[in-house]
Amino acid sequence: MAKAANSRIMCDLDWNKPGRQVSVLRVPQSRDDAGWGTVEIPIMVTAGSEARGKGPTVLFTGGVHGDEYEGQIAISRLARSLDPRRLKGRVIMIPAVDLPAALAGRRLCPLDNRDLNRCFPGDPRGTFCQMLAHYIDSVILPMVDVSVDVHSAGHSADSALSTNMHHRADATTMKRTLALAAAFGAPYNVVFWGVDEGATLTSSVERRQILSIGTELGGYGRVSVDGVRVAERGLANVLKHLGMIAGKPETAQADGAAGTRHMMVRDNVAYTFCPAEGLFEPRHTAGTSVKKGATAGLVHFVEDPSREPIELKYRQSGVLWMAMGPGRCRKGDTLAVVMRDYEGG
Amino acid sequence: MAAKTQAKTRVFSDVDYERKGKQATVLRVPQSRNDSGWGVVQIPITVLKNGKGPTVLLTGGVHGDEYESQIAISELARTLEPSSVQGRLIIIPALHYPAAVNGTRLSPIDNKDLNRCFPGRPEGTFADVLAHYVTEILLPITDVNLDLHSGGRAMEFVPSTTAHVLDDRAKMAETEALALAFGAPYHVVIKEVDAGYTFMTTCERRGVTAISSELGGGNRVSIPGLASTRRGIMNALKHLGVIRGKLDKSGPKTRVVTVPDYGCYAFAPQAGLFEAYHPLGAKVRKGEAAGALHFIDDPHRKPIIIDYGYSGELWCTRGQGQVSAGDPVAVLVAVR
Repeated sequence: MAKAANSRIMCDLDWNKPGRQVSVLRVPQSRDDAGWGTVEIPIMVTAGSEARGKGPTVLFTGGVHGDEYEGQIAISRLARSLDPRRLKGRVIMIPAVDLPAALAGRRLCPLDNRDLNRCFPGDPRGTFCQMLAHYIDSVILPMVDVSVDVHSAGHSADSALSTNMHHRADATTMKRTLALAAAFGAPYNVVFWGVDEGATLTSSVERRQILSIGTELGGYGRVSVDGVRVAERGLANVLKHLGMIAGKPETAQADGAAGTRHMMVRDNVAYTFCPAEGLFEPRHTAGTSVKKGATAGLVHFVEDPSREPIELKYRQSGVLWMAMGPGRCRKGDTLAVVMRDYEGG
Repeated sequence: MAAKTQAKTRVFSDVDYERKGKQATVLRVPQSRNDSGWGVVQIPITVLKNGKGPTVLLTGGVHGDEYESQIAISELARTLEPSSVQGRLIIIPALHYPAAVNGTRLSPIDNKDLNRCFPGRPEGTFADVLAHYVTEILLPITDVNLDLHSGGRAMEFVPSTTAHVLDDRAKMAETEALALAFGAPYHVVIKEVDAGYTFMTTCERRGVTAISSELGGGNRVSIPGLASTRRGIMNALKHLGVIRGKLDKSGPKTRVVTVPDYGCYAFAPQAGLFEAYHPLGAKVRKGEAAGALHFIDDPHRKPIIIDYGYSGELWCTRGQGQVSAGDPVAVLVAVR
């Protein structure tokens, strides 16, 4: 059933077997020193027995970008600990989807220099990332009911700890997705409008009518201590919310709030872009409340210390969702994204 | 003597270190390229000289991905007028300029860490030639060097000044007084990994009073790190009498701490993905777990737990998720 005739990726998993299976996706990668070489991407499937009753299939993915670590750690840990005897349904876990990028600590795959999350729905005759995207889209996604793709901001930025989702036209899907995000229980959930994301994993997931959320749980290319905790709790919360393991989602926040604060990024004024190459001095960290017109930061020119820095301002009030990471910035880079409270719709 | 060594440097500039007033110019370091055999790399330098007082050499960007000092020192170069200076101020906001504009610790020209090239060699690569110029031309006219660093991409620090343990007690007291005036949260008296070829060690050998710093890091411009840098530079210059005015004591009171031995460093035993268990500044105990080293290519392999080898406060953590064998993942300090 789960075999795309034209995929070049091999996998010996029996997708319908109860219990716990540990295997790899074997992606052919011809090299000078290994013409029949393959890249092994760890995959774990844990499924409850029929006797425990039927449940949904959930896909947990981490490391779609190699330098986003919180999901890689949290999903690996879950894969080691999840007990099939206490599980209803099936959990498919791929902690580091773009494994070559994850091992290199980079966003892009070193094998083909591509962003896996810009390669969907993929191509079985394409490069490494295109092959991998095609396998996920055509073999794995048809089995999946709910997808949680765990990201953080990587080297590019730091993020306020959050889930995110696209705005969906269908009211029922919208409601179910908001409920899933609320169950995950990150400090924030961000609803996006009209983002051009046609080639992402999320877009493939949504085309197949699968319930879908993503996350942003840290960044700056390091492992966020809090981000790992939010990820671990969130993954367990999702399984509880779907009735797959016992218990109720725990959504209490460090600041005393009972649950997730729903936010949105609706239009372009949320973004502050870099006007010139230089060195960016931010004025706020991710998660800070900011005002429209306030200074977002300064672009400095160490190449010419006598040149005045360029001051950048926020174009809307809200909470800083994404704060630019590496000091050096180029014209057109996103330096700040401000989210504001969700207004429904 | 100075003339003899000066003749050996390959760096040239129209700067006149003895001229009064303000000069904003460049150091020109020859760099032969395929498309420009007589090409040079221009490193901005600003010199202010007025009245009587010490010569202070203020340097940032010795590592290109340490941004806080580059910003604060550029500002000073732009805004300071000679009339407000007593003595001489030599300001280089981004000393290892090719690395700074590349946003990397090492230079893309020769793949070298400038702070491992001192005292330098005029016949070496770009970084060697530059280090040699600093050692032979600038240090002989310098009384005090503030060479400001932060954690860069690799590390993240509680904002701090740093200095080495010195045999000369009077020199050490003078250095510590300067650091306390700077006023970062910690002043760290450090036994450093591989200090032999650093700028600071060369300053010490030449009798130049030197402090350095670790003012943030973690692959970005640190907001508290930059605030500490701006305040600290002005405080240090006031303490030295180069600038008039009272010290800004609005920062936290400086605590002098030490890194007594290599037990303070926790190193990764092999390559992996490091998950720290504690935030910067946490009080931790010897034997307690510092974090877990994960193996993402084999999620069923148990992570290696790395323990602290010392009881103290967490001064530095790994600034990046991926580590190689032998990378420090945590550095502790002891309150003196």
